[in-house]
Amino acid sequence: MIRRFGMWMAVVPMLALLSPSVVRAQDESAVYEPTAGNFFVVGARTLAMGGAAIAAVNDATALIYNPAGLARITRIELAGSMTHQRTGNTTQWQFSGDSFSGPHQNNTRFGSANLVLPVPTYRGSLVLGMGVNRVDSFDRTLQFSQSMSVLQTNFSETAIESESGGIYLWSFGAGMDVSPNVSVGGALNLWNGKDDYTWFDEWATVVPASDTVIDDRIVDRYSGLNAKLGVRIQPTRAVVFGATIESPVTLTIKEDWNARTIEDGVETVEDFNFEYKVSLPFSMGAGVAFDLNRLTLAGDLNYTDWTQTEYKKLDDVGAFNRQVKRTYRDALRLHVGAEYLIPQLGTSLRAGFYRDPLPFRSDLIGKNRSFVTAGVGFLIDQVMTLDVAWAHGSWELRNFISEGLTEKYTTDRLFVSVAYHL
Amino acid sequence: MKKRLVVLGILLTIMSVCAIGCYTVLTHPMVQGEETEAVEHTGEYYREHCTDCHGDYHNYPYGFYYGYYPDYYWSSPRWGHYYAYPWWWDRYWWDQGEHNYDETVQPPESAEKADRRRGMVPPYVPPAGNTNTPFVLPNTATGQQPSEGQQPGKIQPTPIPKQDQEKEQPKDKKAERRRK
Repeated sequence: MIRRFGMWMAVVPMLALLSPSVVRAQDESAVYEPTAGNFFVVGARTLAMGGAAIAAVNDATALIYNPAGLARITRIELAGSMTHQRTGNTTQWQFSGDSFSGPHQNNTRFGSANLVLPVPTYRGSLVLGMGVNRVDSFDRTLQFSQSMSVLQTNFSETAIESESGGIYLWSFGAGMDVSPNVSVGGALNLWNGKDDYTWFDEWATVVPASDTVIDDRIVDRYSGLNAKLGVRIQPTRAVVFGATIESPVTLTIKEDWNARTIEDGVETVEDFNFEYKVSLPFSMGAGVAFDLNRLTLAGDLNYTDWTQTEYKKLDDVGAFNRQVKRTYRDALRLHVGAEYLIPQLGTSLRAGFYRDPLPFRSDLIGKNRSFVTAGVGFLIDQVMTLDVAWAHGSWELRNFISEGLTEKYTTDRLFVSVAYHL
Repeated sequence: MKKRLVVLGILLTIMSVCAIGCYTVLTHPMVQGEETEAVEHTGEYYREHCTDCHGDYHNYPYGFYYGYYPDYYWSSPRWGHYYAYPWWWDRYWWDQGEHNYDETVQPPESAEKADRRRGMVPPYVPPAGNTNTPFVLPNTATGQQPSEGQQPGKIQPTPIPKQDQEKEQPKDKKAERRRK
């Protein structure tokens, strides 16, 4: 995604006199690809368990986490979920010390709808699944305000960056037992999503007198296709292992630009659109679950080398891909969770933690992204489950969109899932 | 992209078809001698004839979902029903037509879903909607609730009284026909 940051245009030439590092930073400015490293956990049970699901999944979200887990479902399942996210941010300028807390951005989204169809078998298991799940979230906001004096030039700026949207996977998959203790599965995923990005930036200088407003909107529409394969092994009653591999996906991005600039009262508007591609790399996961009667403990690791993200069919593609390699790094997600079941009450209590590292080089990260999670699940009659989960997370970026700017984010997520077994 | 979709779809389909039969079996193969006769899928029938091929039944409970479940599934049937009881073992309206049952007569439980169960009674969960009835284990004449810790794959056969063992010896004629 190509973005304009007005502050750069205005201030960098002045700051360059003070700090050579700013010029270097400009050359090494970060590129932000929203589809890289913005995984949004699917399903309330899994979120409550800290996203640990590769071995522990037992519902329709196996389509996303480990298709081999589908083989453990014995009844026709209809499942759906809704999500609510509340994101806040605080920004601080290193040079001026100005700090600004913007209002929260709330987003209520449709999370998932899945259908699982176990095929009647005489021995073993063969289960088909299909559905749509929201796997990436782009929802966030960033606001800052600053005023500073550089070389006797009074400068003030107010900016609001807002982004909403996400990626939905339309999946069709199957899981099957290939031995009493081993299941395999695969899913075909059709990627579909939208990113609606706006950037409002207003800055003014006293000497020379100048007033500029930038109001941009970029809408990206994503489509792509990939596959995910998984295996689930249960060597003993108490232990389950799982592993997955997700193929690379080449997303076609149709981008619409609307760029409005008002400079000293003169307005110019530009509209254009173009199409390019971005290729996301392999992703691999492994998980283990311990079934200790009423207590289930689970842990997952997911590895993706985001430095292999690659733009295609784009002007200056070489420069963008160099920026990707400078900005991004590999990331290892860690998920751990627990579930304790009280069968007499038909209730499950869950808690978890996950560390979802920002996929950027370390000097851009002030605090890595991590979440604590909790939730509760109810079995209603013997045919329906209702799961509720909550997660709280925070992270911090430094010098990402601009040298000297620290961005602190906090987010609260509330998931509600319902599943019905026919 | 359409081309990749087709190729991936074909590959996954081929893999699925190839994998069926590795372990997962959709239906019991037709047994020689059973083509025309009406088989009553009872525990007695199983003991008389099925053990020819299924001597390892108690380790591999054919017709039953093979998997490990926590102990509470045994003592809390609705959890067992939700997570473990296969939907195709429920009795639906079309089952009566399939087996030509008289609508006024309740079909015997042992005959329900005969094609899949082949006489195997689910070891811990009674049919849907009737979770209060006693559990019935293979080789038992009366209902019995498994103790905690007992798994579907670890069912121990209930000892058969000596006089009953004599009564339930396979009929040689049928057994021989099946072995052909």
